[in-house]
Amino acid sequence: MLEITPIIYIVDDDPSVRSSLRLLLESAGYEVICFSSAKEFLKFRLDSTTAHCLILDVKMPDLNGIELQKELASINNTIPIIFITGHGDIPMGVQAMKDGAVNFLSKPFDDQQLLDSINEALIRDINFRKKQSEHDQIKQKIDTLTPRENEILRYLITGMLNKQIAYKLNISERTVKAHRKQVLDKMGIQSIAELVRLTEKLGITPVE
Amino acid sequence: MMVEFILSYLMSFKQKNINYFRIIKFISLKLNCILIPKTRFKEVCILSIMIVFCISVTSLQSQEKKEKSILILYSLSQSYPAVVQWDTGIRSEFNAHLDFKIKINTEYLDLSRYNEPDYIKKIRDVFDYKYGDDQPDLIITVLEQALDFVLSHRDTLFPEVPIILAGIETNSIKNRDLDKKTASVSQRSNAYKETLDLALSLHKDTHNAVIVAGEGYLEKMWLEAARETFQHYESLLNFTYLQGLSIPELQNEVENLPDNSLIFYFPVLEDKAGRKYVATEVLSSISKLSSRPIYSFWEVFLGYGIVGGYLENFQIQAQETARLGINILQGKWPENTSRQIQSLEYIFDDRQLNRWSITESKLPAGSEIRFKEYSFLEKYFYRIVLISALVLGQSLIIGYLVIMRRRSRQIQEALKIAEQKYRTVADYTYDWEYWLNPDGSVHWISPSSKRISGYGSEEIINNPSLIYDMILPDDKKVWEDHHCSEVKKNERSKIKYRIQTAQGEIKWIEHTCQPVYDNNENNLGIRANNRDITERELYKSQTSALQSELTHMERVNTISTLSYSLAHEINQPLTSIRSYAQAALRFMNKGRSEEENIRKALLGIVADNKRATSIINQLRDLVKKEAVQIEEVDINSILKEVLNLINSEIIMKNTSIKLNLDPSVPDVNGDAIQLQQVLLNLITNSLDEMEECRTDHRVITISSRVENSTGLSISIVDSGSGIPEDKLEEIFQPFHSTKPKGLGLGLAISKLIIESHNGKIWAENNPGMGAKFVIFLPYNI
Repeated sequence: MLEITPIIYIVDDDPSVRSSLRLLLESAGYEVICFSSAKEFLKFRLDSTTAHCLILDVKMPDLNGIELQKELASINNTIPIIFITGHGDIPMGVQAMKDGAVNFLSKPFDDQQLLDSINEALIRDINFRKKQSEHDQIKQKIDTLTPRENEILRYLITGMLNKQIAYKLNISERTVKAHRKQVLDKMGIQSIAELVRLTEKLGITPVE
Repeated sequence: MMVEFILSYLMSFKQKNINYFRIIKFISLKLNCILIPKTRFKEVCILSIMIVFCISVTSLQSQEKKEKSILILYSLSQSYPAVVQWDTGIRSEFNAHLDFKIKINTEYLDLSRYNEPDYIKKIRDVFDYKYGDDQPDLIITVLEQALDFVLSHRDTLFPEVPIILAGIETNSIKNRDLDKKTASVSQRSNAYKETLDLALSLHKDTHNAVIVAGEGYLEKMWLEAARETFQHYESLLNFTYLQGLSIPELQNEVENLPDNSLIFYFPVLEDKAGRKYVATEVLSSISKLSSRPIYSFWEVFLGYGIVGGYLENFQIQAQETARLGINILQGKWPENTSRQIQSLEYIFDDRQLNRWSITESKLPAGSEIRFKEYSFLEKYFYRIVLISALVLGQSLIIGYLVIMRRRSRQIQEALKIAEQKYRTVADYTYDWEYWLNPDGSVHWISPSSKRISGYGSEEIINNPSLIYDMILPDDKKVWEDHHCSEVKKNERSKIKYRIQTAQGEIKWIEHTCQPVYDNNENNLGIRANNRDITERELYKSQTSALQSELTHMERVNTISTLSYSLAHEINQPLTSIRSYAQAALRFMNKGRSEEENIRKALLGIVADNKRATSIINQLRDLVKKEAVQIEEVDINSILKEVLNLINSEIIMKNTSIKLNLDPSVPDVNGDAIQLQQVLLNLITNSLDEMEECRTDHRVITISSRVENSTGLSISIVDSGSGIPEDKLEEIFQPFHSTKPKGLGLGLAISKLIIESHNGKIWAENNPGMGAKFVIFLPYNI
């Protein structure tokens, strides 16, 4: 399924936990990189081309797991996170899950449990990447639009007729028609329905 | 030998003639000088000279031994006091200074009474008869009248005899032509003027001078001489002359004199009626009745009622005359034949001074005061002083002795009381006390020995080794290791051991001993105190059991509060173990090629298993109840163990630990578990204390360091809000808790533990921020 071996990052302050997990994940065929603290991990430049996920210990000195999760979110790092914790603090786990964690495992855990979570995380990572690249393409096309065309686009996705748009913008219907053609051409599509689908993905909202 | 004999012979002259003796002595001295070269020849020569000299001296002496005769011619009769005085004076002087025999013939010419030429002729004839063939060697005439007689008959009566004219006024011989063999002793009398001046100075308001004088030839002559002086005073004084009055008349006159009068007495020898008187008697009789003081001019009247005055002293004149006579008799004729003398003196009668209230201070300087009537005090002053001093001295001695006696009695009393007191103190001591002599014998032992050891004091005195024998065999070493006699001065040695009493009972004894010294630093042996501490030991063991129970309870409580993080701490290796095991299983499925990874996993399993075991062991140690075990403890490593145990708690509390451990701190003697308990307690307290702080400010700094040669210190400083100053000591009280879940015994038990290690624990506020707990532990308990 995957051409390149995914990388599993482990952040745990306990060396024996780190080395046992490394051995376990290596036995499962993953490449493993360990960090003894959150700060160390933050300093590391992640390989964005490879699928990856993070196994993160909750309870650590200095910056703990939950704090690291927040920190990553704040810098738009979308690496999927599997929390491991010595004590099942349920409210903390719920919060972590809400904030996008893949799983919240209580130590000690079964290998399968962990590997399943890793799998899920990696799929999520791959999907995310896919989605991300699609977005990037649409974004690139939109970026080629002039500001006037961009404005027209937000009228077009409301489903208004050319006449209505012309009236709203106090321009001729012909001009609207020309812009419409230009937008569809630049976006490489034929229908307004298709345009609506693309702009939805990017979260571009129609004019109110 | 010879010389000495001769000398002693010569010495025998000493009694006879002092002059010879002096000569001999002089010679003998010379002789001694010459005799130093002790040659026999010289000795003999000198001795022969000596003998010749001695013979000549003795012959000279026998020549001079011939008796000399002196004839004294008195002008007056024997009845005059002046004459008596003269006679006594001359004779005593001769007797005192002449060393050869003299014969003194005295003739009283009585010329004051008989003055007729016929009488004088008859006397001349008598003298011719008496002294014509037996001429005296010296004639002395006394007073003027005799002078005339002698001088006018000298050629016929005493042509060759030396004559001394004595008792005369210088003026009376002024114009006389005296021959070479006639000498004179005269005086210039100014008695009248001086006495008058003196009397006027003593009695300032005097206007009347009453002169009392006789009617006789002599008196008239004296008065005549005085009048020459008196006339100079007539402008000042009104002179009244009571001359020739009888005694009753005089008495009558002097009885009622006005206050501004003074009486001047001239001798009264005869009144107008021709009655003869003794001058001193007249004076006495008028003096008694006189209303005013009487002055006179002759010393002879002093003592008969005159105040005094500048008085002519016949005795002095008599002495001078006699001395001149002695010289003449010895053949030394004076160069100055008319000798003038001063025989006047200020003399006073003390009784009269008192009678007329004249103070001594007003008298001229150098005045002589006679008849001094000393007051009892004056009279016996020195005796009184001496006796008083003696009495005082004696009283002081008696007083001193009485006081000393009383004091010594008091001291004895005090000693008795003190002895009684110390005896009581000693005999009633509850502890068993004794005093061993340096030789080991018992000097004293308290009766309480019976109560404690079962052996009476007599028994121990008779057998001092009992003190050692009753110690239990197990504890004998303790006794042997301590040496009372080696304890330094002012130090004590204290040991604890068990004895078996005479009744077989086992008792704990606390033995304290100290060497004793007297004031001269001499060792007097050993003073010891044996206290029965059986009950205390029993109580102590009970208390210590209770205490250890409590300590354990608190420990378990601490552990239970930490259980959450402790569980995690055990969970960690368990997690690893499971992961290792499952990894190994996966590798095994892959086949032989993964053998290395399987080994790695198994080694990891073993390591983490050990880790879990050690945590569990440590926990078990902390939780188990075990007797105190004193061993060598490395403070740094037990500190690290504690930190390992609560690592999760530290992490969970977001706290960072700064370790500042001195690797050179020596081991201490102590119970590791208990010490860990203290550290655990202090660190968890700090962790809890800082829950209110910002997470990045939660720091605990733990330091160990060598404090001094006796011990080390451990300090635990947090960065919390600190402890209120007034609570710094209170927090060590039991049941003082700030935590709702705490028993409030943590610090109290920590304190007990540290104190049982002979250490100290205290809290203070760190100057920067937070609380600081400091433990001082001695290396040896």
